[in-house]
Amino acid sequence: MKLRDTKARPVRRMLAAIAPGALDDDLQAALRGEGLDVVAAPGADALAGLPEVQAATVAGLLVAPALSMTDGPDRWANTAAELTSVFSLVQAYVRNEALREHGRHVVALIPAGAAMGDAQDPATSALAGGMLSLFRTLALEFAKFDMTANCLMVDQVNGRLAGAQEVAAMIRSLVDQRHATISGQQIFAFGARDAGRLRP
Amino acid sequence: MSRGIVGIVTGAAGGIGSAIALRLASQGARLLITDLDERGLERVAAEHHGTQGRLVPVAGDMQDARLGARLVDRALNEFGALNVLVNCSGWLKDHRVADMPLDTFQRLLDINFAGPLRLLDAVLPQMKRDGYGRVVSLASRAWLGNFGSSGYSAAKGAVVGATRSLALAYAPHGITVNCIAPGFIDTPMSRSMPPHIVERVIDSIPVGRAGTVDDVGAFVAFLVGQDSGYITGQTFLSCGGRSISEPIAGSPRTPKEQTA
Repeated sequence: MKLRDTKARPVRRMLAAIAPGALDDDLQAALRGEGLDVVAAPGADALAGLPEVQAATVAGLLVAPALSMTDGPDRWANTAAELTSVFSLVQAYVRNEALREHGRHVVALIPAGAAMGDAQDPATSALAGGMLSLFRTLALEFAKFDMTANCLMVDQVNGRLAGAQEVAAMIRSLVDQRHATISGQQIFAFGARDAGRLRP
Repeated sequence: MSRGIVGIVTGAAGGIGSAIALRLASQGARLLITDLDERGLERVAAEHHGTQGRLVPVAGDMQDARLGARLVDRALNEFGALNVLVNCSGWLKDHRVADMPLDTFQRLLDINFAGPLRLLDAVLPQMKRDGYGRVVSLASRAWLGNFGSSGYSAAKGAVVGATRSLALAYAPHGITVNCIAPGFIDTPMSRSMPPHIVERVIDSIPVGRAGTVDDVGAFVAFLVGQDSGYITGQTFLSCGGRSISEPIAGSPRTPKEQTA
């Protein structure tokens, strides 16, 4: 079987969603090194109406919600609002036929520590759990469009993303059509700290 | 020290919630039962004929942010203690992702996730003061992902995620926090589904039948008892083995469809 020549492919853009300004600088640089530019996703309405000429340059949707929720009396409402924002953008994306055709991959960055359980931050754990379940459901529904939805569980050290190069390489892999049967998965870039523990 | 079960069961006007309340009451539990359906609560309370347990109906809306404080005050006034919370309230509305109205998605999160978690915030400080407590939230097998259930699935996943962290936070205080994730259970809601869907779902369950509300109730009765103190932060599937058989009902690529 002859594999497609990946070197000949034009650089495609990766859409970033949800507070793209908060996306780690190291990760953005590493993604550029992988041939993926990060650009801010427009609002849901604009995303749903993105013209095909622009959609054709999109490799996929990178969903990076707040990695730490604000604690406080409204923490559950905040979590629900963040989940709704994620859903709104993913929904807009999948409603756009050109994006479905050209950018078949949706990847979520999820804080691994909170997902595993963090006594100090249950609201972020709730967000992580909600994202995991949402993306499993997305994977099931996206299958008929030959689209994928996966979660990349990432680590933070002193507020910065750990292993930006590795994370970028994994994102590159997950938006590669050659890996299109990988969907509905949660992949831990967590230095094996998830090993030996019951994953969510 | 033997502790009596004194607590709150939400979503108790019917289905799984009422079965749990009646089972616990028959074992001597004193419970506030709450739901939107006030008349349903009265019916359930009237069904209890035991001499020891007690069911006190309190109508309430899980979307009301003050419900938790009101229930805790009432429980302490009625019973003088509070050591159990069973979260059974829920609401299900399915749409495919592209068709899901955003306000429906938000409502699914509010009723199935934010409301129950606000209730935990209300009861946990009281349990912490007493150094003992048992919390069980009903998640759903949809937490694993379910075709058409994006909002419900996300809400139940959020409950499961919060449960892991709250279990860690409250374990040193003698409080356990767990989830049960029921699969297809014979309830008024499941009976309203189209017969061909019900048939297909039951066909996919290894034990060959729908679950009963008592299947779930028996498990909850164990988890809220004193003997379960070494079990916390877990999510237990009660689904007749379906979680390890057919991938997901409704999936476009189930094995049966591939071979049909």
